[in-house]
Amino acid sequence: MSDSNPSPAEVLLSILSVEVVLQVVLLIISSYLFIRVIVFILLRLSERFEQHRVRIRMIAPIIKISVYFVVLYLIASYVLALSSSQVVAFSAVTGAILGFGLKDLFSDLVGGIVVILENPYHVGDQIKMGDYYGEVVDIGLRATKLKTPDDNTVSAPNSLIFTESVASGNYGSSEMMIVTDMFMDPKSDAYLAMRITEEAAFTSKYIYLDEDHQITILLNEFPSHLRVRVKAYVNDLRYEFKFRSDITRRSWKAFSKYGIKAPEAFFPGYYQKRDDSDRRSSDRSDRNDFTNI
Amino acid sequence: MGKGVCSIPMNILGFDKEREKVEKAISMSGSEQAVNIAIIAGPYAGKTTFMDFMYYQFPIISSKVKISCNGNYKRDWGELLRNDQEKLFFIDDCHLLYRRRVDGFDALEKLLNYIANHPDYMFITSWNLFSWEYLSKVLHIEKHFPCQIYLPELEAEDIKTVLMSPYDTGEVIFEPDNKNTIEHFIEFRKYTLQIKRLERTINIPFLKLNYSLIKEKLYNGQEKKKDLTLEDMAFVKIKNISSGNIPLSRIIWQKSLQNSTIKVDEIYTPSFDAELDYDTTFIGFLIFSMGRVSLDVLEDTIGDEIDITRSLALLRKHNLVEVKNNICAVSPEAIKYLGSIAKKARLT
Repeated sequence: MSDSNPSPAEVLLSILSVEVVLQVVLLIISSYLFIRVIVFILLRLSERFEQHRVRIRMIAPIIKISVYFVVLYLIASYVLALSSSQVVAFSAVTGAILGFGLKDLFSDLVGGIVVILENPYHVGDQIKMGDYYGEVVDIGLRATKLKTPDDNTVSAPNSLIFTESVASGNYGSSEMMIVTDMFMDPKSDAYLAMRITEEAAFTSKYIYLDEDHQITILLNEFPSHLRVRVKAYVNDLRYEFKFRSDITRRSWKAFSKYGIKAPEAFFPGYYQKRDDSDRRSSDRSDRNDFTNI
Repeated sequence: MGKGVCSIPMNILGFDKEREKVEKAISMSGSEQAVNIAIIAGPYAGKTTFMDFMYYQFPIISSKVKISCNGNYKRDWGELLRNDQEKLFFIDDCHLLYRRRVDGFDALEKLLNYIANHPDYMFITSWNLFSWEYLSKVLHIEKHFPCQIYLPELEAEDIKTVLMSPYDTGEVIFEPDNKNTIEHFIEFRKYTLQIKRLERTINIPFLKLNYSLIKEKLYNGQEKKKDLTLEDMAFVKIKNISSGNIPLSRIIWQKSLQNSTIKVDEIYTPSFDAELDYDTTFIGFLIFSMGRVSLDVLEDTIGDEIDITRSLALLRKHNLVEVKNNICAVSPEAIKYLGSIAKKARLT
């Protein structure tokens, strides 16, 4: 019985020799180096052709996964030259290992394959997945690396794709919609505020405009304030926060010129104090003028 | 802003179709409602020359204004018309009426309102191509100018006429191309990759399609090229490098001409390799989309957002922009380059 049904350990020993191990190691190292070179070239190309940056970077994970599968296939069929009974034996070992200790790793790997095949997001996308938000910098077999707005690199396990919803702000494009809110006093001239924010958006150096990417200005009234919401596209998602602060800063510069104030409910007593202070300094100035005379 | 003062152009090269279009629109203006015209072209592409020429075709019934790059445009448009006979209103460099900032469109909107309120006049205006594209997106300016005429690139023959006009026949010698003249559809080129970390450069070979040869084969056939003289080949090359731009063609000509000889394979090609930050690229693009703009207008547009002095110094260092008498102008040699980096930065 034991001769006809060899144990997995016996199968493993019968296959492995120094030569086979060396071949496997060599294949893994060369494939790893190949992937590194390809990814390096793709990154350089993406920086050179910046308008196609996201599209070029999308290729990298596909190449990576393809190379991994080709290498696995080569190892199984040519280096180890497994017979069908050996494959069955290995499957049993693999199943046991996965069942006991590497369940999470396996679900991450499956998640990685789903990410590549289904494309819920790409390298270069700005995504929100579970608690994570940032630019996808790499999609690996096990995890997706995100660069957060605070410049932290986060490895989000690919299995999150099964349990969390993923929101991609740009989905393969460099441009992305940015929503900027500005709050003002309810007594403000709302029409003027809307015009100013629209101009602040379309004169921004980061704006992306064409027929399909237009600016939308929305006005909402609340009991204590007005809210002007600007929906506009940034030309490169890397400038997301700069674009938002550019619109806000230039809008408020114009708001102050036209007497549009922040809602008083947000800063109770601020305007009253400032008016009193202005009046006092004006009185002092008058007294000084009188003394000089 | 002031009345245009220029020498009377007797003829104009290369824009025959465009001239006919304007003349046709003007001839129809009396019979029905006038159609306003926008003449659109890139920097140094001949807008002002074309406008001057068209103005002098109808001197009695036209008035002409050139917007100053200093941005002084406070007068009423009606004041510029001298008498009731004037029905054609030529306004050159209209893109100088707006500034890319909040509240920067008042002067332009004033003009557009004036145009809308005076359907009895015909307005013939000129615009920088990149400003026009921007204004189309933000103000839908094309609705005010139903007739849009894009000035095309000048042909090699036209460039030859302009550049050879100071010379007698045979005064300039054209020397042959010493390179292997056999061209292929696909050629091996080398992409130089700089690895800063290792302080090394690597040449990566890649295949490049010879588009000009393919185009030539598709449209003209090979015979046409064989018939070209050395002189013609030189001007075709100058045309391709300059994109039919006369000021750039002149520079190429001056830099290629040595001892009254032009070596066809050594015709000067401007090249730039400037690493510009986003803000500097934006300043370069602003100047590019205005053609010529005063420093004061630039400062007024940008405000305190960008360090203009630093950006201009960088642009000047790379010969992309010229600053003379407080006026910033895009360098003719840098037109293509500035266009390409603006496109790369997604500013266009």
